[in-house]
Amino acid sequence: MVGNTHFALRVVKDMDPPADPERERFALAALRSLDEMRAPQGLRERIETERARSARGRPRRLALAGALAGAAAAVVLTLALVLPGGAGGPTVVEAAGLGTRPADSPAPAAAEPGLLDVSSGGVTFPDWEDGFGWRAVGRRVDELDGHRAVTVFYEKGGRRLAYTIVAGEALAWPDEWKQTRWAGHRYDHARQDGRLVVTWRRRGRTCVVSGGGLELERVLELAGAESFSYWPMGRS
Amino acid sequence: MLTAVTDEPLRELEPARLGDHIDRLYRAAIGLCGSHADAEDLVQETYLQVLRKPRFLRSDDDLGYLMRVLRNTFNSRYRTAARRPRTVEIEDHSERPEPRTSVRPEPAAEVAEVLAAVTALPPPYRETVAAVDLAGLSYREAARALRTREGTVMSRLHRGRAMVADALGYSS
Repeated sequence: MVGNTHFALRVVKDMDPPADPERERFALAALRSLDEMRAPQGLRERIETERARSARGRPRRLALAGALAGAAAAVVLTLALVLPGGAGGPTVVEAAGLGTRPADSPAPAAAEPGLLDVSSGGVTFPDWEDGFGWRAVGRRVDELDGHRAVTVFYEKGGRRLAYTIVAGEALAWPDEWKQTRWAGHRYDHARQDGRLVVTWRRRGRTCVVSGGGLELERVLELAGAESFSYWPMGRS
Repeated sequence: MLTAVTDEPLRELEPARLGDHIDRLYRAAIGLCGSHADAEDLVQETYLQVLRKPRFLRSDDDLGYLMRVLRNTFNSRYRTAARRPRTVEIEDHSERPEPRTSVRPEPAAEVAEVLAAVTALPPPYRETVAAVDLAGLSYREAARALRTREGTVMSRLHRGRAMVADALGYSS
């Protein structure tokens, strides 16, 4: 009985108030009195200064991205000659090879805190800028033997990493790579032409991070932080 | 084999156009914060975040996107601070205003009173009134910015306005 009363009270509380056009008009007229409120001039000037500074910085970023893309293209040619054919479907090595290609689209926008506005196979890419200083600078979308693969490129202090998420059924774990378990997850890793490649699974999808000058521990930190950002929706 | 596929069309948010929205965003911010100083900080932080890197949208709704960032920033940084004791700039409203029956409230001191009424709303109603009535978003834009449904926006708006009217002493 007490429970029913509590439920009834909640229903009453959640109901919309009865329609009262006069009251609505009264509120709207009151709220209209705020229409004349303007942002202070100082705020406008600070934002304009920041906007101008941002506009000046944009070409530099693009030039840097272009230079890095050129260097990456050279690595692509090398990898293309050594990658396995993959008769049994795409491999993690092939997915890692996407990270050596240049970005063909600008950086994805930030969406919710900690996430970017781009996903692959239902897994959303993380925004690692605030927590780790890795800023998303570009992306590309490829098809890897029928699997859609999205790669987001991040930069920090002149270093660059590529994070590829392959949609569809998870790719086979690579043979003879080192295996590390961290925070309950499996991470396989190897060095490919001087680049560290780390792969794991998130919500049934294959995730691959690769880049030069990377340390395994730092990549595991990034991957671990990402797993928390999806909690409790699902962990691999 | 590796073959590139085309991505969905995206439009870059033009920084040059963002200045057009400062006033509306500022009104929404002051409705959320209840303080001119906090609203200034919130709007500035919102623009800094948006300008930090190129942003790409799938619609023409620049203001809605800014509102979403503003709301996220407010939720993550200002709500905790708002729980702490703080100096209130608006006038003392310890005395409840006399009941009013006219559709149009008296202009005297109404700005401060209206802001106080909006700021006192529970968060879901406050952010909805701020998005639609102060920033001027449509129901659809507000629903996208607040990550909810249009029906929810309309319902919250209805209740929020009713609470604002009551706080201002409306009597049928």
